[in-house]
Amino acid sequence: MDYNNGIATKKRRVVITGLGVVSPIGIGKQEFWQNLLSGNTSIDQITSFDTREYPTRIGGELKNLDVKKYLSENDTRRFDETAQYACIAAMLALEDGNLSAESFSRERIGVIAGSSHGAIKTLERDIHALREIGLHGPSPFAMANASTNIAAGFIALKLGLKGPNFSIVSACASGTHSLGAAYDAIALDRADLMLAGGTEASITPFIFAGYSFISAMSKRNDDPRRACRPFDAGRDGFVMSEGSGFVVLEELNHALERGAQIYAEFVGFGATNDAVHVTNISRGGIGIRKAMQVAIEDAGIGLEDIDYINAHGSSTPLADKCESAAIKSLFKHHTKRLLVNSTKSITGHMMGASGGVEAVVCSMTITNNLVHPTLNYETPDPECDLENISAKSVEREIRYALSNSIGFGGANSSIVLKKYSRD
Amino acid sequence: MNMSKQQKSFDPTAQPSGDGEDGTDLLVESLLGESDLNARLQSARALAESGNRQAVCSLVKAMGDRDYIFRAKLVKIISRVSHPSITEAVIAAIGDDDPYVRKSAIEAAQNINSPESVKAIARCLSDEEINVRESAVIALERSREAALVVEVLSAVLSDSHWNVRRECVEVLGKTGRAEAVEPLKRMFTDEDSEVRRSALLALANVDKDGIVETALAGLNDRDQSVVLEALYLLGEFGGAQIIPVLEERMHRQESRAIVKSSISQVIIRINSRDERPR
Repeated sequence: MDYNNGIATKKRRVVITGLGVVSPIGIGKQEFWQNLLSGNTSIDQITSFDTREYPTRIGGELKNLDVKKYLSENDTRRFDETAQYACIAAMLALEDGNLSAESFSRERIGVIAGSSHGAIKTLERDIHALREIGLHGPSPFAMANASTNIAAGFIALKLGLKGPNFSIVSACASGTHSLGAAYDAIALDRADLMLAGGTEASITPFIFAGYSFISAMSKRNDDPRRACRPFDAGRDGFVMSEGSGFVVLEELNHALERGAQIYAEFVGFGATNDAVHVTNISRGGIGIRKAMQVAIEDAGIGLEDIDYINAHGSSTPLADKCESAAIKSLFKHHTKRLLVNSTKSITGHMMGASGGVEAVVCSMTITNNLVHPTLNYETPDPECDLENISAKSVEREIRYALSNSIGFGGANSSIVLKKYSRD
Repeated sequence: MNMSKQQKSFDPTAQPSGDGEDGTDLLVESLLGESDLNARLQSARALAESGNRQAVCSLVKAMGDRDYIFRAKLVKIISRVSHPSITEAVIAAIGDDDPYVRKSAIEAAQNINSPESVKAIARCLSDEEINVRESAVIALERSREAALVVEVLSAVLSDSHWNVRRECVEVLGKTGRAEAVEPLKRMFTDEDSEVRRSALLALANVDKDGIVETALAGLNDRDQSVVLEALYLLGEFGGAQIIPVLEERMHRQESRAIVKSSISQVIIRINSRDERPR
């Protein structure tokens, strides 16, 4: 391996060969993709807890998932929803990739699962039980779930995967960081196949209280389907949702040998930190700008090669403004050619799962040459003056897609996916 | 304040009901005595909206509250009221003991934009807290006293935190003042790449005549962000005479694809501009 300023210059090629998604707008890539293209959101009133005292009472709960179809009762009893969603998304990705763990050396298959808040539902329940009942209140599985790597561990346990296995926590950038780390693991010959993505199940009283205090979430309670409106002048905060997105990353020759469908080639990863503020993105988005730049450098391409950006686009007033500034600052004149959309406008903000889900979206976008709409983009905000955000689907050849994620703690990550070609 | 916890729950959105004709008494009672933070802030908003003498007095008094979160939120609410006592209270809050309040007060005071508020903000450029210093720099961007801003910011370009220096550089660039040129040029040797990149952009605002020479020097920077920014400026301001330099830079061994393709774009841009009829 040769290195140039820390960037490996001879890497094994990595391709995406399986897609799995568990989201409020669809289980499995097909249903999910169709709903994305038609802008069919399912943001609605929260029903899992009493929100009457909360300034935000809407979100994207996962109401359409029959967990028992995929997991045993024992699994669902033991593991938090965040691990359950991750495991189901990973299984769907393997199935989509026409893969079984038996076709590989299990030691060479790894899992990296990102999550922002981890098993917070179980933790809240168990902490409440400790206070109410005492020492024997919490579940016997409390400590397993209190370990942040529970989702990655559960997937390995369920599927018998013995390769690199860990969790990445970088708030809402966790999913994209996980993909980047998995790409590195294959490129650097530490694994041949990786299941990577993000998962989140954090629609809880505590999490809602916390985000309410910092006024981060939309208060458009009377109009939930129009609440998440990235880059629109009327945006007032993000809308939380839950679910998971996983992809199968595979070393190119393995994929070719078994005749796999290749959705895209994974060619670039950039990770940076703002080092400025714990919750606010830096003015001008300098951290995400640098993450995009590093990912493009890693891909070995020019700025003008990028056709499409799946933006972080969370619908908060500040983050959308800063991400727009970052895109314009990096791409300059080329910005006019870029198609930009926000998946969160339709799914809601799946927090640490977003990066995984949005990698699924980029893979489908490259495969189908279709860029899904940015829902509720009605009144352009002069402070987010990106020319090519569309409230309708756009058909165009997409050779290179870039996906951004931004998280609390100053975390930024970007990945570049390429339409696969043999050379 | 907030010393006596009230049992009575107060709804600031309710219509006035006897305690003072416009409900001010009830609002003041809630502002100074209610235990719930949100209820007190709602009362503060309502009082700020009314802006009458009693409201102003009570809002100023409430700025002495023990709860720093309350003070930080209150100072932003009261800054919307145009009244000498309020202005005085906002400026006083810039010197609050708590850094969270100082930061909030700086942000509130930038709307006041008086010589007194600018001086108070400028004093925070040496605050012990980074976030306060950053906010002070950003607040000065809106000041009408450009000469004073250049003077005070030039003096803090050696701040220990890179982002304070970077913000200073950006604001200096936005002043458009010639006095900012030399301090900005010195920032090219800054250890932080974002400071150097921002200095390039800032100089494009204050020194258009010298920007090509400056950007050419930026081509040799060790960080790709600075090189890309230099290329952008050369594409905007450079002429055909710089093309050989660009070609040399393109063929250097260390040049990555992102730089090579950007150089190609700049050369195309310069050539197409030169070919245009004048």
